Parts: sequence; structure tokens; C-alpha cells
Amino acid sequence: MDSNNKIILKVHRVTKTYLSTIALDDVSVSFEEGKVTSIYGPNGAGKSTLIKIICGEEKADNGSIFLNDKKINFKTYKEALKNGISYLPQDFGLLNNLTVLENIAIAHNQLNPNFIFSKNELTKYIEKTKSKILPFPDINKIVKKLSAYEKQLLGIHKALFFNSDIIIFDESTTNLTKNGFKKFKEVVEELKKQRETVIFISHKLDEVFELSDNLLIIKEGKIVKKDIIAKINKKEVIDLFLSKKQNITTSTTLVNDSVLCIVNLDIDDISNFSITIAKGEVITLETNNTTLNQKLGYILFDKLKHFNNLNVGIIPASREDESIFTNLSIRDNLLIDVIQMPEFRDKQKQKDSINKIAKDLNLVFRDWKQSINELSGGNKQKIVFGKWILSNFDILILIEPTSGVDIETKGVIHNKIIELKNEGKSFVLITSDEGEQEVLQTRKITLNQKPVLN
Amino acid sequence: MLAILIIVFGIINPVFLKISNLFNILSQNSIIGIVSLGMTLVIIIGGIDLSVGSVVAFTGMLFAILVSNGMPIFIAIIISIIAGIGFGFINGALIIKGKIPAFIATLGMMSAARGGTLLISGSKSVSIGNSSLNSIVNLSIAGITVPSFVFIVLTIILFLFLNKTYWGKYLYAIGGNEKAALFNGINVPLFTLLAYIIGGLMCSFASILLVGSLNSAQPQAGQLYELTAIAAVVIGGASLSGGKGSIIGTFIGVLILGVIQNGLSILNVPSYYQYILIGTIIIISVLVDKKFN
Repeated sequence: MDSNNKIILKVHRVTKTYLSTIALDDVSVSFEEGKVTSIYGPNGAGKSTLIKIICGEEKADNGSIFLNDKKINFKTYKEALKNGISYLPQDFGLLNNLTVLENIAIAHNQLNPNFIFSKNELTKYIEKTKSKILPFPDINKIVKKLSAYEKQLLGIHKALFFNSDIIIFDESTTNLTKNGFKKFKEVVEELKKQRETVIFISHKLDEVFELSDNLLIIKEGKIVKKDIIAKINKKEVIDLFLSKKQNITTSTTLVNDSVLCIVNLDIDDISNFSITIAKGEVITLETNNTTLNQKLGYILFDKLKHFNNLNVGIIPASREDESIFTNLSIRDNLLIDVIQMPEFRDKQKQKDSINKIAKDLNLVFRDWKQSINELSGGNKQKIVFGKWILSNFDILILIEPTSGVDIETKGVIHNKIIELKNEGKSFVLITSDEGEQEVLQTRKITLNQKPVLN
Repeated sequence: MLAILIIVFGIINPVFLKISNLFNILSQNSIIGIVSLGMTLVIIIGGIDLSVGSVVAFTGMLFAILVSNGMPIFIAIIISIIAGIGFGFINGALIIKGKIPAFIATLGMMSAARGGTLLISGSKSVSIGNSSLNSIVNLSIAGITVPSFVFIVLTIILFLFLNKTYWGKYLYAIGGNEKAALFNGINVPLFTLLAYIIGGLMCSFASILLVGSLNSAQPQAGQLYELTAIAAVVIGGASLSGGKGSIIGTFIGVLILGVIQNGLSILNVPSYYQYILIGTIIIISVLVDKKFN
């Protein structure tokens, strides 16, 4: 790295293990003041662990951390905050049953403790000091009622309110639209102008290249590369992770015109829009209103459920809340939809089919009875996908199926979708990832809203 | 709902609508009302306190025994308040430090405190003699009795606490999501403890008023208080999964239960129908809450 710049934060030989897995293996890195340093790597590589150790959310087994050349050892995130480090976690860390205003207020109260909660003063204060670049969600709305996009915005605003010297964004662009990312980039540039240090954790390579000055690449708990961004080649990064050389097969589309169903959609401003789904196709669905896109998937699922002869599945956008049972084992999560079918009563059949899924999807796990919670995000998503494969669906609705997963998982899921499509299965894909659309889609449907009449 | 009930009962029997009767309802329900205020905080943090009835009995009995043994009332009040806080503290500590579910910890305390009451009283009621407390508690200015007044004042204080202070907001945050509350720098154990302590404190207040109004303490006092209090809080819009509820809601919930009881009594409806009706109302209010949230 550029040695002319001052090192603000230094991680020295940090090791962290969870039970038998090594999350961080003797990691040493430094962060330059006033620069954007990205940490890139697949899920489970140790990115978040590293950050949590810096912020006092986790304790390292070994090693030390220096802030401005002073050794630090935060016990809580609050301590880190008081020392000028703010952190926006992947799950936003918001208080869902409180309003936007209360969330900002409580966060802010950590640094300037008050007893009296004055709504009027807080409203004025927030109006005055908030970042004008990013849209700000309705201040009186309860966070539970915000969309994922709005929650993400609120999280970013909250992190900015602390005026910290170091701001850490952990996968903070996952729920942003393209335009939202542009705004986010402006925010980051503004921070750089004020000589603030930004740490950006992401698995989106394009965004990493667009934002960063420095790049750290982490794989299986080790730093495998660190350099200034100009010296790193994107292709070389991808190769680092695709050791198995997964070729995403873009096969010729199997033309099969046997129509499965025709559904009529009526939502908000879109009325009476009919969609025909045939066997063996991947339809991408889009509206010109990005906030509506995900909702579309759920509504379509509700409609399709009424076709008695069709077996319809859905992979919802929020893995943790909507598609896995965190208290159940891997096996139970895979079998939950099919267990009542007669053919799955047989123990051997159960074993065989889950073994096949595991092999097909390259699932990494220790034991079938292991809790699903011990797996990384990518492996969890494979299980969600595998569950539907077992149920032998006709149509599968995919909402952001590879958001927040690593390249390897993405490749496996894409390959499997193409394979199943060629066998005659149909998919409806709703995704903000344009690359994903290009690779998978056989047909694109854009629903246009009626112009608003004044 | 409260307005509808009052109108319905008023049409059926105009006696119900007499101002004196309405004040009477407020007064009769202010003791359980005070207990319900404390229960509101506990339910907001996602907890539950089943021990309230027994704690009312114990602190009341302790107070009566101290007074009947010649201790000045003022000091006896302070000691019984400390006892109430102590029960809240033990409940909270068991839940935070022992990681015991609130339901179990307070269920145990419910039995223990009741047993303690029977032990110190020898299962007999204890009179506080001709004390000045009785005349103070039974004082009434323009229809507002002392218990009503205390209930209203505590309602206002706790309303301000929940809505106008950060500490109040913290309680809501903890009930919504403990992990997120921790991440946002909230001292979750401390504020959980605080909610149970306020719950215990409210029980002490209620018990002193109860003993004062009866001029004696009964070993069986406060039975089923936990049920009525939880009902009032839930009718007032709180969610038993935590993070939701309000003091004003609870205040109205207490009055709704009181109005139903009083209205049905005036109509000469046997009391077992009242229990059936109250049970139904609790279930319906939870159903409505689930439906709309």
C-alpha cells in the first residue's frame, strides 16, 4: 500500500476460531486514513468476523488491534463508537418496533446521553444534520413497515450521524437499487473529502472496484491479497475464487410451447396484466417501479397457488425470516415440504435424496442433524433451493435468489437452474442483478404502470 | 369500546350512569389498576409477572404486622416499599442472571410469596387497629378517592416515563428485539431489572392502599390479580410478545374491565357470567391484535 498515508487502524496477527472452524487465521492488515478500503471475499470467509472483532462485538483469540498506534481492546460496540468507529452491520441493527426518529435518537443517545426524549427537538436536529444526498425515510414511520431498501437507507444515515473517524459498512449496498448505489457512492466520496476512513465489506466485485482505493481479499480466514485497487485486475480476483472453473452453461433454449398457466395480475397501479408461463422457461419479471418488483413475486405466488394441478415454490428475498427454520436441522429444513408425501416416508429414500441434493449443490456441512444456523449464508441458500428441488416443483418463483451469497454458490445455483429448465421446469425470476438476468432469462416481461392521472 | 360499554349499560340501567357510580368504578378498580401499570412495563419488555397478586398480599401483610406491632406508619410504608422492590429485583435477577423464562421465575415467586404471607401471618388476617391510614385512604374530594387519585398520578408519571424519556424508549426497544437493543448500546439487563422493580414497587403501593381501605391485611389478598392485570394490559393494546403497549391503553383497559363488572352487577348478572365474559374479552382482544398486526 501507499506508504505516504497515515495508518489509522491496524490489525496485528489476529486469530479467531469457533469450535473447530478457523474464522480468521493470523490476519494482519492496516487501514489508511481518509481512504476507502474494501474487504472482498465470499460468505463465510471471515470478513464480518474481522469487523466484529475491531468493533468489540466479538473477542479475538489472539493478536492485537491498534487505533492511531494505540492498542485497543473494546469490550462492546459502544466503546468502539465512543472512540470514533461506527459500524453498520449486515442486518442493519435497527429497532424494528420503534420509529425512524426513535432509532436515530437512541443511537445518538449513546454518544450524548440524555434522559428527556423530546420529539420536536430531535426532529429539528435530524432535519438539520442529516445527509442530503441519500433519500431519508419518513421520520415517523415504524421501522417494521419500511421496505428493505428504506431500512438500508436508514442504516446508512444512522451510521453517518455519529460523525465517526472510521465508518464500516458491512454489505450495505445489497438492498440498494442502481441509482441508490450511485447516491451511496456520492456519500462515500463526501466522507473521503472530510478525511474520514471508510471500510466497505462486500461480495459485489463491481461495486468494490467502483468505490475503493485499497482492496483486501480474504478467503477462508486468510488475507490472500492486499493492494491499491489500480494494481488489481478484476479477472484475477474472480479466478482466485473459481478454482473449480465453473463454466456457466448458456445452452440453447429448449423450445417447449406447452403452456402451464395464464395468470392475471392486479396490483397497485398495474391492473389486469396477464402472464403466460410455459414449460421450460425462465421469465424475468420487472416493473418500472423497483420497490414493487419484490412484491410482485409474492402476489404471483399467491395467485399460482390456486392452480390445483401445479406445484409452485418460492424463494423469498429474505432468507432468514421467510425461508428457513433456524431452529431446525439441515435435514428437517430440506424435507419440511415433502415429508408428508408417501414416497418420502422411507428413511432410506430420505437419505438418498438428501445426499443427492448435497452432491448436486456442493453443500458444505458436518452432519445432517447439524442446526442450519451453523451454516454460512451461501450454504443456507443452497438448502432453500434444494428443498424445492426435492418437492419436484413445476414453477419456482425466485426473488433475488443469489443476493448476499458468494460466487461459488451463485454459480452452483445458476447451473442448476439452467439444468432444471432444460428438463422442463419453469422459473419466474425477479432480480436486480443484471448479470443474472442475462445468464438465465429466456424471456423478459416488463409490466408498466399506468401514468398517474392528476 | 369503553364509551360504547358505558352507553349500553347506561341505556339498560340509568343507575349505572350516575356520576357517583362512575367515580365508584374508578375507585374500586384503582388498586388493581396500579398493579396493571407495573405489569404494562413488564409486558412491554417482553416479560410477564405472575407474582403480582402474592407480592401485594405479602407486602400488605408485612405492612400490617409492622403497624400492629407499633411501628410508625411512615416507616412501615417505606419497609413495605423496599420489600416490593426486593421482589421485583429477585424476579428480574432470576430472569437476567439465571436465564430462567419470566413465566417460570415469576410463577415460582407467586407460590413463594404466597407461602411467605401465610407464614408471617399464621394464615390469619391482621388488623392495623384504629390507624389514621384508614381515614386518609377513605378520604374523598369531589368524588375522587385517595386510591383513584394515586392511580391517576401514577398513570401520568409512568406515561411521561414511557413516552418522554429515553429510558422508556429503551424498554420498548428491548421488547422489540433484545439483540438489536444490545447493539444500539442499551444496557438490556439493567433495564429489564428496572421494569420488574417498577412492577414490584407498584405492588407495594397497591397493597398499602388495600390494607388502608380495609383496615386490615388478608392472607388471601390479591388472588387472581395477575390475571386481571394481564387482561387490562392486553385489552389496552399491548402485545404479549413484547415491544408494544401503552399506559393510557392500560388505564382504559382497567376501566373497561371495571365497567363490565359494575354494569353486570347492577343488572344482577351472576358473577360467573362475568368471568366468562372477561375471559372472552381477553381472547378477542388478542385475536384482534393478531389480525391487525
